[in-house]
Amino acid sequence: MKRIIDALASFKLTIFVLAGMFVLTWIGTIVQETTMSLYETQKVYFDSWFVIQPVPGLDGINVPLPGGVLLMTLLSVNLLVGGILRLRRQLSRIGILITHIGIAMLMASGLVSLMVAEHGLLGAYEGDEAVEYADAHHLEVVAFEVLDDGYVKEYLLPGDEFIGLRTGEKVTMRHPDLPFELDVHDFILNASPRRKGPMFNVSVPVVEGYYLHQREPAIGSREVNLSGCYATARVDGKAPQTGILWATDNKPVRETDPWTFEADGKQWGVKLRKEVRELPFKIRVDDFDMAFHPGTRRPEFFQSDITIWDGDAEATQRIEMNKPLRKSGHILFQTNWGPQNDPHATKHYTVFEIVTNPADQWPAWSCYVIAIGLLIHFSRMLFRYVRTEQMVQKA
Amino acid sequence: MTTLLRIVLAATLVAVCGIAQDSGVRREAWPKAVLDELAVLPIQENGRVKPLDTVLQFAMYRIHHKRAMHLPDEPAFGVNAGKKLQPIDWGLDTMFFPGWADTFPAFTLEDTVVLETLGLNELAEQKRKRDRFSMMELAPGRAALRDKIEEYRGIEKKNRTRVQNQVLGLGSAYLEYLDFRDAFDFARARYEIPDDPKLRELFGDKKVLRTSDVLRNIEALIAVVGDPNPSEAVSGFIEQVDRGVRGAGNHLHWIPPKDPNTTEWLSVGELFQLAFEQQATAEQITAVERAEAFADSLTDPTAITAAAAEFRGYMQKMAEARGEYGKVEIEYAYYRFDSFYKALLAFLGGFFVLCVSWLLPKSKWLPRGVVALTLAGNLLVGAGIVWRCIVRDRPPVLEIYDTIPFIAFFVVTVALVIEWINRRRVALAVAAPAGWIMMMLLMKFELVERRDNMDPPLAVLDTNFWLATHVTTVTLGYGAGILAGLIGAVFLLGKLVGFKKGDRPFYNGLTRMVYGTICFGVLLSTVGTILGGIWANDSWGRFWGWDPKENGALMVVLWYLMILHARLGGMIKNFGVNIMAIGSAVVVAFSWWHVNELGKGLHSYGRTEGVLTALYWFYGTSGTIAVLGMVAWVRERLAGKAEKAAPADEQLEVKEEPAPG
Amino acid sequence: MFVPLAATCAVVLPSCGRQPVRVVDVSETRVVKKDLRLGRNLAERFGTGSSSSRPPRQSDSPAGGGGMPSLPPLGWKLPDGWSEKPKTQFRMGSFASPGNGDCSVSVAGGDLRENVNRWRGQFGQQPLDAAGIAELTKRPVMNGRVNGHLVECRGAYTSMRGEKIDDAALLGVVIPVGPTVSMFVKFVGPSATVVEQRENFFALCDSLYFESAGSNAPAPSGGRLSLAWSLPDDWQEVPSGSRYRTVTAAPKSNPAVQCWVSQLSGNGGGVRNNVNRWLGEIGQPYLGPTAIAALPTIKVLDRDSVLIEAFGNYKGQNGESRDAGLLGVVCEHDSNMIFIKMVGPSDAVRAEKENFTNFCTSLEAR
Repeated sequence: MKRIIDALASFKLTIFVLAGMFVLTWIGTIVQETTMSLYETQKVYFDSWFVIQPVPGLDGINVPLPGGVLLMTLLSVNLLVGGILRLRRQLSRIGILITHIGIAMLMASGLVSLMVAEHGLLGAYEGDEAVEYADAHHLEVVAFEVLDDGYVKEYLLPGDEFIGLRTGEKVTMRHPDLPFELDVHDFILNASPRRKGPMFNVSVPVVEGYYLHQREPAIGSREVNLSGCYATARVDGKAPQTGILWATDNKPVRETDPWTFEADGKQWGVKLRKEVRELPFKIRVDDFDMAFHPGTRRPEFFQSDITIWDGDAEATQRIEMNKPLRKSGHILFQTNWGPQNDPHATKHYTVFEIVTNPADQWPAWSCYVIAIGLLIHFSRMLFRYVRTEQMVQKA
Repeated sequence: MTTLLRIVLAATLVAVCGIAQDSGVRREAWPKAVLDELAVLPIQENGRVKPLDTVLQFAMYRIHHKRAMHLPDEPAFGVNAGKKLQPIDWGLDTMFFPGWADTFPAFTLEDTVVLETLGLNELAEQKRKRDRFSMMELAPGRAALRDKIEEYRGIEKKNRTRVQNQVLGLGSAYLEYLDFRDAFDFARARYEIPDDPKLRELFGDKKVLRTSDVLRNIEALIAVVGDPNPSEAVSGFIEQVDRGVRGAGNHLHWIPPKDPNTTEWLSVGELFQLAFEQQATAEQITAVERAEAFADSLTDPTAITAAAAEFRGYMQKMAEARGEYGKVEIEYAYYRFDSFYKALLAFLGGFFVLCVSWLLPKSKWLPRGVVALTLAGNLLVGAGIVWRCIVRDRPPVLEIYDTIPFIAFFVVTVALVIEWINRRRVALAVAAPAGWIMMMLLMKFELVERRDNMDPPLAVLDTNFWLATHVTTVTLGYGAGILAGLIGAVFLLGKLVGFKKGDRPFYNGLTRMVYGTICFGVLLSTVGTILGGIWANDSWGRFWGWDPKENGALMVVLWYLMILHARLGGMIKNFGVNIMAIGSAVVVAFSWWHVNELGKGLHSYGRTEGVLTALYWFYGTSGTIAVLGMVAWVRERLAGKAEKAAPADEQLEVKEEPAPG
Repeated sequence: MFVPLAATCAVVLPSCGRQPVRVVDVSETRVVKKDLRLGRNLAERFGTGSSSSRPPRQSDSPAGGGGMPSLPPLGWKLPDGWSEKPKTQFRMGSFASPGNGDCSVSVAGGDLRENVNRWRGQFGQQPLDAAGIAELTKRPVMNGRVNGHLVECRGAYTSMRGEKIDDAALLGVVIPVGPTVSMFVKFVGPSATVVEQRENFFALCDSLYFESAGSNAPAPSGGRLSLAWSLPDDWQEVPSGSRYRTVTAAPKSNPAVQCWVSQLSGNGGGVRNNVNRWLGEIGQPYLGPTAIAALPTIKVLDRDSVLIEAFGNYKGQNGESRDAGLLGVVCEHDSNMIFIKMVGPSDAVRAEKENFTNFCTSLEAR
């Protein structure tokens, strides 16, 4: 046991991990230039335990490398055991101890962010109010029931249930209030509906003369995959009805209409969309403003002025580049705007990225701690170096 | 306007010189006073107001690829024969003596093949003797140029061949040249008023209209045109004016707008648009008049200086009224003083004196001379940095261009401080050449980048706080790696050639310097990288995105940490530290320059061609030094004198060795 | 340290041993206020043309076939004291009456019985069978054009959202407007209100009408203007040669002359470019900026709009050349450009000039 702990606390492990991270980071950076998107690189190299790395120029030869998660885990252990617990409690080490604690804080914040942080997007025209926004990645299937007075009841099937479905598999959605069962099947990560011509066959259902065509997953920003799937509604006494769902919402510019079918004398809508999340407060976009540097198409600034209602409290706030709004555990960033191609547009829309991350401020704290630790340690070293040199010179 | 249209339009104007009266050839040299006056004419370009001199300087980089234009000593070039034209000389010649300027060899081509692609085969054969061509020589190939541009534009950048890129480069240089060439045509334009009762009624005895007259009398002219049955003469007259209006320069934005809340300055073409809407002010039209007066004065040497002063003075007043002239003269002084070039000379001088001091090691004055020159050079670098901060109202490091003098300043300063602490003359030996090389790099980069490096930044970068903190610390962290690498090179090369053989304290001292520099680097790079993450978190909601630039910074931190921990763990000793120090310089070069060449991610704002070649040379050189260092190490070990750190020399480190488990 | 391991297992395990069919009883529901457009077919939902595989654009493409036909816009005359509420995409009309009555006009599929019984269900009443449905009173509505089925209920009302009114009444008319489509005019409120407003409700039902095809509903910013005009006496509307034209007309006495109105959003290239394009078509020289600025203007849609008159020759694709006259107006209206163009043989165009200008000045924005 002691030998295991010794190994975990050793410098050799430290060097191994640092070198491993170095190599991984280097490969990941180079690879981004050629074959993979930022997102894919992150997934393959840094969010994984192992990487099977092909060797360029040597076809078929693959080298197994430790992935980012493995290295970070080992580093955390090494840091904890060797860098903090086992560190000799001497005054001369105090700086190092503080620094290591700071690094541990940083890694903890990374872990928490990885596991818990959520990203979403909220787009709204000037004058619009909003209480909800769309998650950036997670999908859901939603069945709509129309109520009176413009109200709608939504029944939600989370993406985890249907995203990993293989061909031939389906998941059936049920609810006591629903007069039908809804099968969700044939999910495609990046899809587009195409006309089914007579010259070829497809393995997915054809609806209204269209089928869902599978495209290459998008390289580039991960948000560009337009996912699609099929939904089949089975109503008692009726033939099953199938529709194609395609998640192409891009608020506020575009909100796709749901697929409609009938059951129980009513129309029902079904849609595939990014998960809708609710804000714990309401906002209204009062004004969006941006300017280009004169005579250029380079943006000088963008900012949105919003009004926030939280309970009874009403306040106004400006969100601009580098100055997000932090409220109730949500952070709103100014991320985009439009319409960008119409110089005569009278009404603009603004897009906020919304992040929930309890570890939002931890890196800042860890930065202070690390800086203090390093300053203490290196000041001591500098002082001693100067003294040594003076002694050497006198000699 | 599309490229196509612009070339066609320009070609038409070049061919039909009826509008702009060709002002012929300049008979006398530009008086210095005139050059000084017009150099500070305020122009708005790329979002900021700058002196005309700056505009022309970077235009020359883009068109001519050099800082000055040498003209051959041939009679055709008259007063310019054999002269070296500065950007302002060349610019004024192009704008006011366009026909003559067309004969100057303004365009630099790197490859004969470009000429052949344009069908200019005869010219291609002459290329063996020279690589610079004039507008006149290239003009016959303009149709082919137009076609090639359309064709190559469609090809994705990374798939283009070198020649294709050069053709596109030539195309944009050609267009830019034409833009300047036309910029002051309006000042020379003369419209003859035909003998027509209506026109006589409007213009009285005037026989010729200038552009300012047209602007002033737009309404009247429109009334004339409204006549449903114009005479031939009047039609011709209107046609002339129309052509002049359509051809009025759109490139140079030198007329401030009327409304203080409007930020965009106007070109003459845009002023015409306003005039049609009756929105041009008397002040703006007077500006045009001043330009005309100057153009008129070109044939009268006694009047030219005064006219230039009046023109510039008037524009200055207009700019000052908007509070936009403040930095123009400061910027001009910055470029005139050229402190980075002077620093380069000082460093070079310092290096020269240093070499001499090695030949005469007993001299006390020579090292002092080195210090003095190095210090002077560093102060000049510092002055340049501060000057730029003043002109831009921003912290020192904004763009990749700024990182070079900043790192140079840091490296030389720290080296001088180390020298002051230990007086071994090693740091001194490193300081002057380091400064010199970096200044050379700076000048080269400016030419390669070819764009004004003081233009306003992207919106996301536009925050002084983060620019002052994150960017500065990361840049300083890079500097530490460079310095460590330089000292490490001294160690390894010294060991290789047997310099101060056996002098253990000397080499231990070097190692300590390297180690100390790395420690400094760890502090700066770690803190700087984390600050970058915090900045990103405030901008984009994510602390770390595995972006190439972020990865580069992380790699630098990891490398420094590896050196420190490997040393502490006893895995490397002196040689190891110094070899890894060479590595730190390589990693810094990768993070500083190479990641920008990858062109991806949110950090890709510093991308330039030609940098990769320099990088590979640097990698090669560093790799060679490292390998030679390893050879030296092996040699020492074989000679039985393994360079172990004797306890007495390890006073700094001995207490840092960890207890084994 | 174990957390990453645990996280990994959570991801890996569910995909082990997957069955082909899985049933999920969903529990997450929410009620929101939402504009929902149901009944649209695939082409309408995704804006696909023939075989496009690009993500859809913003516009609603009015494709045909399948599902619910989009009905033309509805018009009505509001009874005294009644007010309009904001339309939702599901309600073609939404009104409030004095006394807290709520009246809605909507469209749905499904047969008569399903819908009637749905209303009855909201009042806690037993569903009707086929015979019961047949016995429902019929009443002419929409100016006597259609017979609707009248439904009356009274009792405790529970809406879909769960709201309750104790003594409520419903007056509803089910109007068949297509073979499978019905329009529902439903009036619900406290029974006293419903009784009091009964005649007003019927008056509203009588006043309903569909706006004729050809006029577009007012669009939000960036959309086309909805225009109205009056044609000169001698002129008549003719089929448009292109779907980009708002209307095409020709004089009865000069059928070779054609006049049409078209729109572009944004600045459509500007006045000068369009005028010169027209001039180019008939072989006339372009006008420079001075000349353009000197062109006469007429007031169209309350704006000074350039009027161009030119005569020349039109060159056809086969090289034939024929005499052509052009009268054109370019109107810059806020965020749209309106073009009115008349072409034909020169003499005929000259003759129609007055009619043309009268037509142009008659344009109105809805």
